[in-house]
Amino acid sequence: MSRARGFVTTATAIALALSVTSCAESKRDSGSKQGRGGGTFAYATSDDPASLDPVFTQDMQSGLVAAQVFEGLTGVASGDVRAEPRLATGWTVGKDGLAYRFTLREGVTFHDGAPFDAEAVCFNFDRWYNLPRTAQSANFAYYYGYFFHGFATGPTADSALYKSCTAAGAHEAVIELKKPFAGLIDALTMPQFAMQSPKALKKYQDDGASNPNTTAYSTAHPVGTGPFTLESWDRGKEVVMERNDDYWGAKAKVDRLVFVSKPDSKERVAALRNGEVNGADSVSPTDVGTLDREGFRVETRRPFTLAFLGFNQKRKPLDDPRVRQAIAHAIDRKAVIGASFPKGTVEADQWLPKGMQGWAEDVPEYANDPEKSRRLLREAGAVGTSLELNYQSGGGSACLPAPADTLNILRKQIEAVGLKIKPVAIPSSEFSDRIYGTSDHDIEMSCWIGQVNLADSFIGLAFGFPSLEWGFDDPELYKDLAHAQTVPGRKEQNEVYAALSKRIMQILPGVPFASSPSSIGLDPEVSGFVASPISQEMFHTVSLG
Amino acid sequence: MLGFVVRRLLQLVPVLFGLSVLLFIWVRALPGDPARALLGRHATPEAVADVRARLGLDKSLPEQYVAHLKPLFSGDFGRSISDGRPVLESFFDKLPATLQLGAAALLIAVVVGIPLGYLAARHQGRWPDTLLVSGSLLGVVTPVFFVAILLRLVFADWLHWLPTGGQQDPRIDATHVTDFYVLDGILTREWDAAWDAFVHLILPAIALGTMAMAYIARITRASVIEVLGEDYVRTARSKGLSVMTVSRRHVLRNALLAVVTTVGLMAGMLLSGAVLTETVFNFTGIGHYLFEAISTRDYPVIEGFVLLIAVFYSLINLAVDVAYGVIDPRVRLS
Repeated sequence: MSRARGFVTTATAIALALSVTSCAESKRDSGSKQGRGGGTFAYATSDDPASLDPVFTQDMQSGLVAAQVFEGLTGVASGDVRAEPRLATGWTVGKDGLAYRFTLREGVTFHDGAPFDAEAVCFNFDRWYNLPRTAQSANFAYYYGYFFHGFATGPTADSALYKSCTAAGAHEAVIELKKPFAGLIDALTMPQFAMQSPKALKKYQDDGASNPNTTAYSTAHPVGTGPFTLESWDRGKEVVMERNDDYWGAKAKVDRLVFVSKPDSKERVAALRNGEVNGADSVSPTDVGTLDREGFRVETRRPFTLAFLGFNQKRKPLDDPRVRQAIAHAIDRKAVIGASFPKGTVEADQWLPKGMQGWAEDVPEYANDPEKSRRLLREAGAVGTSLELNYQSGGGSACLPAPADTLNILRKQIEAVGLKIKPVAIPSSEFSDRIYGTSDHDIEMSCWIGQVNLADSFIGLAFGFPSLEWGFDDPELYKDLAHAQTVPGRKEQNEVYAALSKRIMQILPGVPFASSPSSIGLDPEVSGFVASPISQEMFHTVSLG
Repeated sequence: MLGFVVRRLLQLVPVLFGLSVLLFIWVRALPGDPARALLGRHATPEAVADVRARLGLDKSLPEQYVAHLKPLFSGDFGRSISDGRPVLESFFDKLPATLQLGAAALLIAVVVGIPLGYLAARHQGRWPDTLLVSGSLLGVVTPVFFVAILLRLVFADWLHWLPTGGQQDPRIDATHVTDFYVLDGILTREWDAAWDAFVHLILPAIALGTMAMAYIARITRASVIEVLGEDYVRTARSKGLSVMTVSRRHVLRNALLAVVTTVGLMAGMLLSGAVLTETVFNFTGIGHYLFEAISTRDYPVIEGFVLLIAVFYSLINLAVDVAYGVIDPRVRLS
């Protein structure tokens, strides 16, 4: 055979092999589902975790991994935001609201065999309080710094809430605070405050590292008490977990759990339809119908999010309340939601999602009224002003599923009353820097995802101190928000927050417009999956086939 | 020959030095401060200053450059700011995936490109030729990422024939010996793992190989046409040798010289194309990692990876030059 013909033959053979492959591939999929279905649950997530040490993280993805590996003294009830006992079986609060006595679950051990006891609890609390300076910064122990008002050292030392932790017997720990904090039990449900193995922390963690998220502990050796243990984390690709056979509670039904990082929602859906994964997080609203028709299961998280427009009052004419009101009246929430949000989305009229602590019935309303908008703009002399509208480029998120569509309709509504809108897409890696770190922005379109049932986690975090994001200074408001945290008793605290929620809508730092549910696509053979409003699904109840 | 290789390696030194200076300046010209990026909003100026000092960013640029260059001589490329791993370790960790992808792409390019170019040349001016010339032009001008996205859309998202991305089904608990996934599957006799890795390689390899294939087809066509017009080919034919024999002994052997050079240059194209292909297919090789590093301003990774890729590219080209001398005795390596 001549060489030339040889080449042609090889080429033909390859082409044939490729076409055979394609057929074989589709068969292989169904085969693999049955063959390996009981073993490994693969879940396409929207991001890679920032770190495996939850105390240094703020992102949902790190929280989701942590929720499988770790547990806190308290946890949220399945499918709810309510706090319930977890590693603590009960607690009592002193009359002054300063001392919390936790009774600990007995017979619990960490994955490395270390016992979970009062000493371990105190080790964790003391560790957080004593974190060194770099670890205290906003990209790391942000939530501890926020909820506990400071650390042992550094500029926040004087305001720190934490006083001490004492082991009163092996299974009883007493946490003492300097000021009351009625939200403590709820705060402790957060993955950031999960209990970690003192033994593993001592061996692998370096809290003083210039980036504590790159230590051996944070990248490879997280040790908790949860239903899964970490096997490996391949950055940007996947997190692999294995069942913890020594778990104190109901053991996981699958042997292995793999979170595959796929930032694009279309890609997650394609992988699910293709049989590459068994579940896909945050499926975009447009794909929900398709998945439904094709026989996939779609689970919905109750709305606990907030999409909003934020105004930078450092920029004229946004410092004029009439202009802010004009924009608020220009927005037709129903139309925005109808055009760009999934079924089940509710209109948001304040800076707290419905169902969160402090949500108020009677907030100042800004009903859709283009005529009034035009009048307000004329009065303010702002007709025809051009404003930039910044939003994060890239795919949608659980709280703003189709940002480009949302932006288009909002733009049309605002331009209809006489302002000019220039949309500016900013890559997600630069968005925070630009919005929180500079005054170089007019209006932002953004959203929050609730992580805990504390009003403070929304309005306190956003409006509790001067910020370049909003560009206004209101010391009275900061003082009152700080005071709200220390009101003893949940009921009294709820009322204080409701009043604050109304007040913030009067100030109108921006316009919240939608609270959306997010959807999860699942292979029809998956059972036991319970969607969590705060995206903290627990996978030990999930089984295949 | 040895002298040639040594000289070429020495020439590499000033090139790499120049590249390292350019890279150093370019990376620092990117907007964004790594220390601030690390600490996030509301970071106190003291904390930022502290981290800047720890990363050595408080020194002057020339001082930073010297501090950055020194360890390079001992093979220390520093550590990633975002994941803390040594850059060199990450590079060699990710390299097998990229090599596997590049090799598969090159294989497709050569195995399909050369026969196509040859066929077109033999039918010069007739329809197979016209088809190839216009088709390959399309292949050359279409950006890699476009081909990649298109292939994924059609074969993965719509037809569900092939996976949308990744290197292996996450549910397969495969043993990895060499980190060349297909090879690993074969070595450990985990046939389904090998097959799965192969299947995951198809779309990225075609996406990455398309442009190279089009180039190779065009070069092959042009040089075959040129050789076909040579006197020695006419002589061989007039001696009564069959078309096949002439093709094999005289035409292809001479025409392939130009093709081999192209294949060498292709290596560079494949490496840069890998950044985009790997990103589209979530294929965790060096391209994917480099892309992530650029988006997080991970200075040591960007600098280290680009330098290492440059070294790698130079070595491939050197190998091609050496191979050139082997194929064509007329070429002296001097």
